[in-house]
Amino acid sequence: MPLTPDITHPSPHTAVIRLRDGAGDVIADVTCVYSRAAATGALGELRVRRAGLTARERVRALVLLVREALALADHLGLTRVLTEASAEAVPLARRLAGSDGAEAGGRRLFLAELATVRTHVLTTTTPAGDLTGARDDDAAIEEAARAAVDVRR
Amino acid sequence: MPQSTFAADGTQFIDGVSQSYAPAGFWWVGTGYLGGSKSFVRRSLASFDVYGRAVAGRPLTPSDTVTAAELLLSPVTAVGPAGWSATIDRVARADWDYASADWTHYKAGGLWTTPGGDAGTPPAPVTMTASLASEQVVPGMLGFVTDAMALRSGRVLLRVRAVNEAPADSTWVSYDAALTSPARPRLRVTYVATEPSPIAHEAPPTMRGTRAVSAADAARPARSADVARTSVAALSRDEARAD
Repeated sequence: MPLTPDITHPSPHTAVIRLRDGAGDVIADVTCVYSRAAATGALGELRVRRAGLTARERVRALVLLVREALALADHLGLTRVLTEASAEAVPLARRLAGSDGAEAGGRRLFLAELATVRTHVLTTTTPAGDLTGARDDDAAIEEAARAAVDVRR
Repeated sequence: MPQSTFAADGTQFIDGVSQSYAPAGFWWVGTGYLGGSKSFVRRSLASFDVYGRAVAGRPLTPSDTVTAAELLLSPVTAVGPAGWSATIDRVARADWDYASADWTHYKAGGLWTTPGGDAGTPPAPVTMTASLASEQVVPGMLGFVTDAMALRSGRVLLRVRAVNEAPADSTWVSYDAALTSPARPRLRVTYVATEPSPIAHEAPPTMRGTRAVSAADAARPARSADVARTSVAALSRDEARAD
């Protein structure tokens, strides 16, 4: 199922990235906020809007959202990016960030230079959203994608 | 004039959306609209002890006269428009515990009267403008230090919150607040040191082993052991000089 990104800017410091299927329906989305003055951007909650996707399809959607968000950050001239990951989302966040992040009261805070994390993501995922190379945490990532992303939110 | 700098010995932020989420060692002020559990309204709290160990200079003493005080902050991330204002208040709960407090509790089992932290006066709140500079200096903290010295055993407890916690756009700044970081929130205090009055100045001995005792001296209450030791030391010095 090919997904196409669609980016809107509802306010001067906010962007919403939506992934649409061939029919134009929204499959997944994320809100990003940023400051060009501070050269910093933050990735919000990754949401899968389409019910009935397999865990693998959900992971693909989440990975594509992150790839698009990092591309947008680069386009905006940002140099640092951050996100907070809930306990369920930590395996995916670690995999994509290429770092452990910092423990923060049961969540983990990932703050990185854009160039570093984008290079990591582009080299460890495919343009279709697949994670390259089997890893021990693949099952945890898929399970988290199945459990943590609630289409009702 | 001499200055002393005190680093925070307790830091955390509290979150009005995920109200039990309040990690120690982090400072975050402002509002984020990021969807679901990632949206937040955050305030930050910190404690300082101006009678305790200073990272620069020396601990203050009750006899010091403080002439100025500034809060030093090191921003880490910022999002949204620049130039917004935040308010610094005194935390009214002396036993606030950064390790267990959250939006609704000031310590384990103890509820804030008002969720989000109880603020008290004096001193009058201070308004700061969020900055993206590598180090932000917030002047006007004198009232917090003098209040702490006079009434709170030197403990300065601060709460920082955005003036507008419902902005149209995500607006926040986070600061380095790890309790092991030299860049965590710091209070820089300028003061005039008031030396304790040496006893010898009251009635300097003019002859070895003699000392005039006035009626006022005789009526004075007993001195503390420390002052008595100072007196002995002063007399010993005078004796050495006479020798």
